[in-house]
This record gives sequence, structure tokens and C-alpha cells, in this order.
Amino acid sequence: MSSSLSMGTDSQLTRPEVDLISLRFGRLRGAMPPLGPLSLKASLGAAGISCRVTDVQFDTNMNAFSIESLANWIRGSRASTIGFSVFNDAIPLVIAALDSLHGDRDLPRMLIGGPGVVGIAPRLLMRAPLIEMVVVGEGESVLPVAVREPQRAAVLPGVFSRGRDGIAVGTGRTRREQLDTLPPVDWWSLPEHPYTIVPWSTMRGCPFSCEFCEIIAFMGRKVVARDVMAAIDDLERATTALATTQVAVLDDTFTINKRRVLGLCAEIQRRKLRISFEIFSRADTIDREMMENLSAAGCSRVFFGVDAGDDAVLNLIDKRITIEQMERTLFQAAEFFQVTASFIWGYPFESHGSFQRMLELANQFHKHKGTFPIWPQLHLVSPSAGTPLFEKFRSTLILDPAVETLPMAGVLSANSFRRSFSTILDVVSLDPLLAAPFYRYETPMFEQKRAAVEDFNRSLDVSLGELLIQELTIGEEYATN
Amino acid sequence: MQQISKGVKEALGRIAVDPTMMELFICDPDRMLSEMNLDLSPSEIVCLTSYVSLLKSGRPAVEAALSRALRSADRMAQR
Repeated sequence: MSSSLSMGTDSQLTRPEVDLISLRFGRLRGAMPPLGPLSLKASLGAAGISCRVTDVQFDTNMNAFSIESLANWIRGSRASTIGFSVFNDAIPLVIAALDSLHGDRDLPRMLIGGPGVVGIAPRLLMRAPLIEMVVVGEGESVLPVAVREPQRAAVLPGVFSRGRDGIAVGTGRTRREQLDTLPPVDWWSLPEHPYTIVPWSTMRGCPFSCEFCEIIAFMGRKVVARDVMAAIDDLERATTALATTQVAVLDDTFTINKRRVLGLCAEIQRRKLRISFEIFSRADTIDREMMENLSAAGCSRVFFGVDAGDDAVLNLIDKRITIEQMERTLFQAAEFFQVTASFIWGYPFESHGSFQRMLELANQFHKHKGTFPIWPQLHLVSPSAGTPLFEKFRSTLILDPAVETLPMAGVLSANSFRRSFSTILDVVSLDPLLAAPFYRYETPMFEQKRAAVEDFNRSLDVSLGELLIQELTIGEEYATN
Repeated sequence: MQQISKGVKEALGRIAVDPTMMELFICDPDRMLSEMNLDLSPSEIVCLTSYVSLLKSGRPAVEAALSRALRSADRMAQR
């Protein structure tokens, strides 16, 4: 069994002032270092505060149900402050682990932040008395203040804490960071070799308001971008330190500004960076000229959120794009890169007819014979606190442990044998707000839709299996010749 | 290329995008196949095992294909 990875200098590793733990249970286990916590570490370092970052991705004992492992990690920390960086699927685990520490003495101060605390801060403080502060939004400026001057931090926007009467106080989200003034991530502090992909962030925020997405509540509509040269300097440092050419651009809509995209592509080419990168885009923010330049700079895959199969549902989720635009752009993009067409199904207002149209569109994309393939993905809509969809439809939430929900695909069923399953399920069932992604929305003809999605996914698995077998066979022949 | 059954391809495709399934297949193949509702013959399981071993051995071309598939599946974790 492998264990969690820790990052920092020797003295930081043995007795840091702050212990940051990144509780990320994505499927890309260990491929990408946790960028958010590393940026927080850099800001703490600039303020003279030592910090250790622990990444649980490599720890096969650590998952959304590993109460004892997390509790033991907390007990073992010698820091004066612990910071949890979470997505919303880790909230029940944190609550259950802290419940199990009830009665322990001399525990460190505990702070929590990350995308997972959006929309739940006051309730989380009520439910988990050991948590001192919840930070909603970007944390680089706030965290050093929270560590050294908690009383001053408590009145900052986005910081939720307890007032004198014990009631949660706080409002909004933290002030937006000026990205060019943030201390750079020390890519050389990462352990040697375990990571294979550089996570690259060139901007934060999203100007769109898709109803299922929590980005607005987390960061706001304003897009804040880094200077092109500074962003590429950072990219060069990261690819050198990690000794990799694989890059994942994390920007929510990398293609929002054409001039900037062309500038980044030109600079990547000017510096002769031999990288392969992937981006998130929108069908109405990318054109042929951008595609040509992106491809020439090394872009190998573009992710598009199609998110529905007809214009009626697109209107209801405030997507502000038509299916016709999606088709035109995705087919064009498949001339230049591999394309991911991501669909969301199971909206409360999705009729069976709309669902069928989504499946037909996904099939149409999958069967498209372009230069590169279009890979559809079908995701059950994941309830997420802080989103407009959640506010409108939270009364329809359903907890069904027999159904795989997102982003917990496979987890509820695959983990039902684990000892801690019933404890986590108790936390989840008592408060949907604190465990939203474990639920699903009520939607017409759910069972029929689910069966159709399973059939579709099986056909995709077969296609992917075929592709892998071809490449494995070629690889074997190459290896033996 | 030899004829490979649909069930083997399906299992391999699923394993490629889901490390949990990879782990489960290595620890307990019967359980993994039952979770996928797949009924493979002993010879199909041998065939699947050999491909999973190759996947794990990380030949460069395979690694690239696998990482593409994995990255594609990772979107939800980033949302």
C-alpha cells in the first residue's frame, strides 16, 4: 500500500506551523499535484509561515469513507493549525473524522476551504464544532491572516467563524486575488517523479452562469487572468521540475479571450515548448483560427460542456448556446484535436423526450468520422450547494444508496463493504446540504434513463477497450521486435 | 488482430477509466466482474488479465492512451 505524499523542506515536514491536507478523490489518482494547496503553501511561505502539504491521492487507504485514516492523520499532526482543502465529496468524511475525535485534547486549530465549502459554511460550522473557520473563495491572501491573526481574519469577506454567542457569522466570498502578485508555486518542492501532468492555471473565474455550476459562488463572474509571459514562465518551471510534457489547463473557459489565447499559443511556439495540453472551452468562444493556433501549440484535446440534448433544456440551465452551435463547433474541433463532449442528464425538468435527444446527439458525436474522435461523456447531474439549480430544486433531492451518484461514481456501491460506510451514510442522510453530491434530483423516468445511460456507457467501454487493445498489441509487437 | 470478445473489451475499457475497478480486478476479479454484471469464461478472464498486466506495465503508447482516457474521465472531479 502506498501512503500520502508530503511536500516541504525537512523542517517543514517534521514540525510545520500549518499542515495542509488535500482531500481530492478524483479518478486521475496521482497524475496531477494539487495546485490550490501548493499555491496556498507559497503564500504562507511568503508570510514566513512554514507549511507542509499532504496529498492523499497516492494513499490507497484514503478515500471518501476512510474515517479512521483521516482521524489518525489529524492526531499525528504536530502543526499548530490544520487546513483541509476539499471538494464537496469529502465533506461527510471530514465531519465523521472530526466526530470521532470528540474528547481528544490538544488538537490543532482547524480551518477548511476549497470548492467543497461553497454554500454550506454556516451549516458546516454548526455541525463540526472542531472547525474554527471556513474560508469561501480564493484563500491565498486570507490564509496567512487566519493563521496569525484569527480575529482580524474573522471579519474579512468570505471568512465564516463563530461569534461570541457561538452562532456562525460571515458573508460572501473572499476578495478576488490579483494573480500576478501571488508568490509562485515551488514546483521543485514536489517529491520526485510521482506526478505526470502539470496543472496549469492562467486565469480564474467564469463570466457565464450555467445553473448547475458552483464556480460563480466560489469565485464570481469576474475573470482574472495572469500575464501571458508570467504564466508561461510558470509553465516552463513546472514542466522542467516535473520532467513531463503533459499539461492540463485548469481554466474554466480558456478560450474566453481570443487575443490572449493567440498570444499564449504564439509564446509557447516561440519558446519551442514541446508540450501536449488539454483545455476546457465553450462552443461559442472558439473559432477556426484559434483551433489552428491551439493545435500548432500542442493542444491535443478540448473539453466542451454540451450539457443537454435540446435547446429547451439548454435554456432552462441558462447555457446561452444552441445545439446547432455545439454541433458546428465540435465537428470543426474534431479536425484539430480529440474532443470530449460532456453531457449532463437527470435534470428535474428533463422530459424523457429531451433525454432521448441527448442520447441521439451523444451517439451522433461518437459516430462522427473526423480527423480525431469525439468522446461523449454522460454525467448524472450532481447536486451542488450554492448553485441556482440546487436552490430551486433541493426539495426534490433523493438519497438512494443503490444508485451510483456523481461525483461519487461507483463509490457508494463499491464501498458498501467498508466498515465506515454506515457512519458516512448516517452523516449523509441527516443533512443533504452537507452531502449534496451523494444525492440526486428527482427526474421523470429516472430508472429508464439510467438503464439507457448504462447501455450507452457499455458501448463506450467496448470502443475504448478496442482502442486500448489495438495500442497494447502494437506496443507488444514493438517491444518484441 | 485476434478476435476478442465484447465482454473483455468492455471490462478493459471500464478498467482503463476507473482505477477502483483496476484495483478490484487485481484483488478480486470475480467481484469486479459481478459489479460490472459481466459473465466471462475462464479463457476470457485469462485474456483480460494479460491486457490488464500490459496496462499496468505502462508501455509508452499505452500510457498515452490510458492517460487520455483517464483525463477524460476526470472532469467531474474538477468541477
